[in-house]
Amino acid sequence: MKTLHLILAFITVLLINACEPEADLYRKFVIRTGEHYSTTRIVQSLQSNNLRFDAIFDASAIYDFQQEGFQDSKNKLLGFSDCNSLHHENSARFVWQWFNNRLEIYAYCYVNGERIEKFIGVVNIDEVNHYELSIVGDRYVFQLNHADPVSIDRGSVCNTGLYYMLWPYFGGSLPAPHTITIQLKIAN
Amino acid sequence: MKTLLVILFSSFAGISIAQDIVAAAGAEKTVIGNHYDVSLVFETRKSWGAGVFYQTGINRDGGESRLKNQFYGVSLQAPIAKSQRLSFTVVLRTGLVNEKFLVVTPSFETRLLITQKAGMTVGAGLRSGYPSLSAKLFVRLF
Repeated sequence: MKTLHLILAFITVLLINACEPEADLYRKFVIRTGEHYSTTRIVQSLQSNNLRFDAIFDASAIYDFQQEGFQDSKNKLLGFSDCNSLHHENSARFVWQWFNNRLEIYAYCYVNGERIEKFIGVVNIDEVNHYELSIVGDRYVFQLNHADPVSIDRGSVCNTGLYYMLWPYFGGSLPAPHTITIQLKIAN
Repeated sequence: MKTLLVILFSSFAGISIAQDIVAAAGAEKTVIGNHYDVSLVFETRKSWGAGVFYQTGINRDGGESRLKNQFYGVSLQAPIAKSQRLSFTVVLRTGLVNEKFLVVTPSFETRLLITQKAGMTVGAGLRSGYPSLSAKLFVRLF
């Protein structure tokens, strides 16, 4: 009888657990003045062919280096290294820059060591935007909100292995001129 | 994968003779939904263990159920503390999600022996970068 009670308690815990409200999954990434890397530092790997997330930039995304060569350096938002590759060999990321007084989003890939960038669109400060980065056969497909997708061919990589996630990073060569905050929520 | 399994099992067999083969089934609540798993672990007298597991989520769309995020591979178990009915272990699962993506997930488990051969396990781990909770029922086969 005691055993039965324990098993019933176990099942009850499972059922109650399944009815919990959804948690707020936004993570705040902060790049401090003079730094490239953001905190919190997380080690995580990709688990499906689609990386879907929402991102919110605030006014800290506005910066002015007063030199075009530095101003159009791409700052990394989110992406992944491709199968068992280092990210400077094969990877795909969304990146951003404050340029022409607007926040521009680009697709940014390394394909067999060669860097490829394509403009995707513009987003507003303090606005939630939806991003999708998918592996579709031999291509990376980038989509911002409901805009037309942008695709970049993948390099010659394996199919089964480690795809590690690449988190927000400022630069380029220059570090963050002031503290920058980005909120990200990865959809599951 | 097969080579890895053979190496793991043979190395554990070298350390100590197995006391039990433990079969378990349960559920894990993760940030990517509830997942259900089965496992078979080869366990030594001192609660070291190595085994295989299979876990899947279930996607219910329009009355149709499909498996999602299937995760299978090998698990390694190391003891932290043990009493007659209660034991604490650290478990590291390594395997493939969706047959393609290599994933490593650590967890901490507490096991309660209810009868001589069966019991339950509750655990806390890290899955997809967020905490997860698990509960299992297990039985010692041999």
